[in-house]
Amino acid sequence: MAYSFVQIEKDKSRTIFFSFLGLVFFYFISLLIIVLVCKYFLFRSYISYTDPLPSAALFDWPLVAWTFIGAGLAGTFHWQLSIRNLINQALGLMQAAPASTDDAQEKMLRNMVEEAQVATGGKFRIEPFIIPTAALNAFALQDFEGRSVIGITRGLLSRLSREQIEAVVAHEAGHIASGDCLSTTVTSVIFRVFDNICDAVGLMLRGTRLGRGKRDADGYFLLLAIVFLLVNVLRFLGFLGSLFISREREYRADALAVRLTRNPLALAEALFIISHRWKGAGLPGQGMEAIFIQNPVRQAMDDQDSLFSELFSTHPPVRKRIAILLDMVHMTEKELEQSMQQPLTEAPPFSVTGNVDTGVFAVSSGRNLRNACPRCHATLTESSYEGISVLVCVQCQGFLIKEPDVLRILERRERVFSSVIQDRARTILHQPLPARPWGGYTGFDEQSIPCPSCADAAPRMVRRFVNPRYTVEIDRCRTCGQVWFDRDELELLQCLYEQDHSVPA
Amino acid sequence: MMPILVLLGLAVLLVMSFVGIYNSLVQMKVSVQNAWAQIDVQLKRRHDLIPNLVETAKGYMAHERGTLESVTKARQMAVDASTVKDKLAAENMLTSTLRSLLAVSENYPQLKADQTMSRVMEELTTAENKIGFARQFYNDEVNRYNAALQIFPNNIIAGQFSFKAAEFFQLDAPAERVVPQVKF
Repeated sequence: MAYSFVQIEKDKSRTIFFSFLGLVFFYFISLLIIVLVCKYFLFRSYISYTDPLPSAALFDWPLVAWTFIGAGLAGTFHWQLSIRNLINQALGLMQAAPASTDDAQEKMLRNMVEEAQVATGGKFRIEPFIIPTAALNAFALQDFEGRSVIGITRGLLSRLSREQIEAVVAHEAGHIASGDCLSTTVTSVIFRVFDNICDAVGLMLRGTRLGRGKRDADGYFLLLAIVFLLVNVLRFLGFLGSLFISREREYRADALAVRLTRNPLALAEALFIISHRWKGAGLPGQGMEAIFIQNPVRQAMDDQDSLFSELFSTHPPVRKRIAILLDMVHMTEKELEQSMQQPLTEAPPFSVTGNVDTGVFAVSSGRNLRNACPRCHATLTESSYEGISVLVCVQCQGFLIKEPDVLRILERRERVFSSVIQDRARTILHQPLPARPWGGYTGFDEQSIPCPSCADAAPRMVRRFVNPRYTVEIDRCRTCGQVWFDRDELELLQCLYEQDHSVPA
Repeated sequence: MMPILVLLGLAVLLVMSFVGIYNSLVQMKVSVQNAWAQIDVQLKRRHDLIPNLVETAKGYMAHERGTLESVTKARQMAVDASTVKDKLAAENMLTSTLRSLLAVSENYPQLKADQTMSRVMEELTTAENKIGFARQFYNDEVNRYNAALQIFPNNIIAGQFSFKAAEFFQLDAPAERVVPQVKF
């Protein structure tokens, strides 16, 4: 079924409009529900302690009106507070700098943003920004003073073709042209009122239990507990609603990008490439997933189409987005994959065999996430390596292995090594000891990485050689004794061990 | 009394909706004119770019004097053109000479390696793209406007106040009219 971009834009705009209205309505209604519950409890206690029954009904219109006014004020207040200086904050967090006119690539970005301005009829002035990271991603932001910003990562700028970047810029310009950035702030902020209520009620709840104990009426405690539960449920529903809108918006921005560039294929290619690369998880600037072209954090979730990801992701499944675009040019995903000359899974360059642009990657984000890859911050997944369970980073293919398991892995011989690894192992075995003492630098420098499994204590891992003979650098945590192998390091060690212990034929 | 009030209300509603439609039509017309002006702006930017391009290319393409001269000539014609029709023809001519220049420049590897040249090329690419986008935007606006003119009840008002359908920006160069071959 061919589905034109005009139709998509129209459909999605309608969906977004109504769900946005629905969400705002839901916000008011849920606050009303909370107020009514409180009032009901007050009534009950009133009835039980005093004689004359209150004449007022539970539900009266002035109460509704006051609740709505209060809800409106609280929402506006939170909203104003959060959009103030929003752009500068986001740019500062991501260390983004305006695209310069001297650098050829950045000039190209400037030109493309100008092109997008022309394509939208010159109604928006958009400033181009560069995010200094090798990750592939892009975002758009807008505020009420009419300032709009498109940020592109340096990685994306240097790895995509001009047409593909143009498509990405058009997608972001689409967000700006349709006013998405503005309504995003509303949907994400409005339920922060609930956060505050939640905090307050939580505090009061703790107060009743610890302080006054059983002396006070049980009704009070029950009321707080119920309100607490209710607020949480309502907040959760609102959260789901705003995620839904966020996903619909991505579809619409894709359609708008096609309307601007008339080039669905370039956008499909760009999405495809971005989805197969590091999207920037772990960089400063997280917590703003919704503004990016693809979710930088949740790699696995956007790649599958399960009910879970349909409900909880800020972005629709990439494959679905690509499929819609490819449908416009009568292509299948297979054909697209074949037309892509580049290798699909590219590892960040922490490897013996890999390429080098380490300078950019050595970003230490200052964050320490439990069970996140210390290099690229993707979540580590449990996997079996030579029959032994290890944690592996799907992104950079590093391994986290418990120390006793390392020897077990070394003893197994199933794996066949590439010639590069074998050559490398031979050189290491036949080369005299390196100048550095083998214990290496047991100190910690800026290169030492945090241990992924003791994230809370955040000890740094010690980088050292395995031993004087096997001069492979590994990272070992002195607290839990786990060892981190960057890509190829484990294979290299295995290969060394195998060559060393093989029986000469 | 009551029926008169109702009738009066209806009349007010009718007038208001008429005014609304009229205003929206005027707005669209202005935006079409504006979009047309945008194309002009972008064309002018291309004119400004060409002397630079020719100057840079001259150093490497001594043998292609003819191509370079035709670009300069086409530019001059486009700048001098006074009527819209002349202008369109001259701009189309300029586009095709630029294309042939780009095609010829493929034969000069040093030209591609040259920093200034690659910069000018990027500027030329973006200029061409902007012209394309401005034209596309214009045509989209014309499409919107023309569709709005034909819808009932807009067509009554449009006829009354002689709103005329705007013309699309069409390409005259026959080479560009050729439909690309579709492969399955």
